[in-house]
Amino acid sequence: MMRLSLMAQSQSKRLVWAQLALPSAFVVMCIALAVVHPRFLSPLNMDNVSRQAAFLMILSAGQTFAIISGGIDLSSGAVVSVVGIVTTLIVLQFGIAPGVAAGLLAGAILGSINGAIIARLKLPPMIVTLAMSTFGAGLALTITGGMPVQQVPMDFSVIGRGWIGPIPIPVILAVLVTAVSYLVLRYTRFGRHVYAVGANEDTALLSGISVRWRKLQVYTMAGLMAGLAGIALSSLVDSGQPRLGEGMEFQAIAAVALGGTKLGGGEGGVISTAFGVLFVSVLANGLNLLNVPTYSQWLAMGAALIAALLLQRAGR
Amino acid sequence: MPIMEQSAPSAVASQFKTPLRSKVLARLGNLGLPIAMIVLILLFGVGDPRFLTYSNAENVMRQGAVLVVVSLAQTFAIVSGSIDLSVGSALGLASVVTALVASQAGLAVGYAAGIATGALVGAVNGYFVATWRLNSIIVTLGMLSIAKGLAFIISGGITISDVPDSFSIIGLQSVGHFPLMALIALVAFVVSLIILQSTSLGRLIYATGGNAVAANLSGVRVVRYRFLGLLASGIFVGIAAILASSRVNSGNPLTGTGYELQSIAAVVVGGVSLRGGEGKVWGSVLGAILIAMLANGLNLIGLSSYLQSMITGAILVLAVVIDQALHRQAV
Repeated sequence: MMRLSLMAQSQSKRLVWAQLALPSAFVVMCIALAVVHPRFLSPLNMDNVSRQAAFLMILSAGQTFAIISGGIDLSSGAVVSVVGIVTTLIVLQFGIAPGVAAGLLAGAILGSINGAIIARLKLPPMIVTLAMSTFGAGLALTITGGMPVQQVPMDFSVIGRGWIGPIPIPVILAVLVTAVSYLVLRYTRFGRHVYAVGANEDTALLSGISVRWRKLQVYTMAGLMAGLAGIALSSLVDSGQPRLGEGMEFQAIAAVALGGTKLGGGEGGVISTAFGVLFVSVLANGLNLLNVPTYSQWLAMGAALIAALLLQRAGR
Repeated sequence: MPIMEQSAPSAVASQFKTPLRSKVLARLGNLGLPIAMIVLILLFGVGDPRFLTYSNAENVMRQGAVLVVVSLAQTFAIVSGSIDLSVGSALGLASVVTALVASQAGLAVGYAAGIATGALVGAVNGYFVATWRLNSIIVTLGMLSIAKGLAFIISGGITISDVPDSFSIIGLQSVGHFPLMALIALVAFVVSLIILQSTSLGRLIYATGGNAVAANLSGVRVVRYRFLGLLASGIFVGIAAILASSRVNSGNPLTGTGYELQSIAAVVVGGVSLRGGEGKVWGSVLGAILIAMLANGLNLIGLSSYLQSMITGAILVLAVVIDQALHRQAV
């Protein structure tokens, strides 16, 4: 039986703390909210929160892939907007299924453009996705002339507003996305390669990993997931809003970082991101329930982000 | 070192002679940005002659002055190994504070308060990034939210127009033919240049950003210089806030929206590496001017602001591609 040295023991204790810090904080927050505000646990509120969390989770899953690979995706919010527009426009003309397909395709295409430029031209992901974000936001506004796409058939809103049994559909989608992402990252060669590329790109290349191909795949996936989030969100609001996803990429990045994934890449996972998403969503919901004014909510979210990071750091 | 050069045998020495092509491309790489700007000026001048008028140039100088100073702020942050995503909302916060304090205690105190606000934001960023070693992306992201919230809370969400008459002097006045805003930006540029490239402080900031571990092992107080990088960023944001508020003669919490991304774009286009530790200050300034010129020119041609965004995104990528290509060939 192996006995850990004292230092190893304290190190493994710290690792455990670092991983449990956020989930613990999350549980404490839920309990506190449930006690302070009875409506927190009501079915209506749970439905609201879980839906909001679901949209963010789908987006953040893609962001997780990008960050693990050593990059970042600043364009996912813009992709959400563009896909929302594309989807609603196609739904108006050709029906729901073509609309959804077109939306997913659009997301994948935008993501693959990011990936191609990052992989082939070797530009920093931050700049490429930043440029795509500017471009995409402009694209969404140009296509619609700044006006939302209206009069989308009510059936379309099922995706964002409906249930299967007691569970909201977006939540099912989010769980599926998370499960698939987890399995891919953990049990496929692709997943292992993504971690390797993020950990040390040169070493990965020398080990025979096709770094360029993996990067292309990662950003295409990120775009695809942003697309799915865009479809679900525009279904929720039952229209095509050109600014739908504005700023969402930062929420996703915050969720990923809160979950404990290092922004340098090479480690982390979607389960940690899921906790980050839950934390952020419940926090926002709690602030709403407590009637905290909007401006103060911004303040609180920023402070909570830093505080949560400090908590994790203190455990290292 | 002369001794080593003279004793190298010719066969080996020929490996070290730089071919003419590389030398030319190295010079071109340095000139890439100015060349791009000249091309842009020509293109826009042809597209709409109004672009070349002096009054338009004055416009560009005024609009660009704020971006130049914010890009200088971002340069300090990036070169020291961090990134500052809070510059935009910190600008709004400083703008609001400047207007409020100026309306109570006069212009000078107002300006001091504005710069102090920026410095405070920078100091808080620096504290968490340097001392606690948190990732600067997240810290400044959090700070973005905090500063935005504070700006709106303090201002009540409205523009503060109750400012002394002299508030707009900086924004409107010119010295001879040069807008005062542009002159102040120029001074800020020169100061940054001196600090970063001619003082040991600057060298140590670069060292910290380039390779913090190596710098640390060499005895550099990495924590201090990382902190100073973000503090400097905050101070310059305060200065930018004064310029921006003076231009619109009010304090607005929304001032500065979008500047965080524009300043990063300017800095990267200017050749500063996002990894830190390299890049020239004049690159960032030229990058900022290029972006300001681009926005101005696209406006003048009459493109909708939505199309402008698309084109700006495309040109950003193009500029970085060209810059990288030139630099890689030259090595």
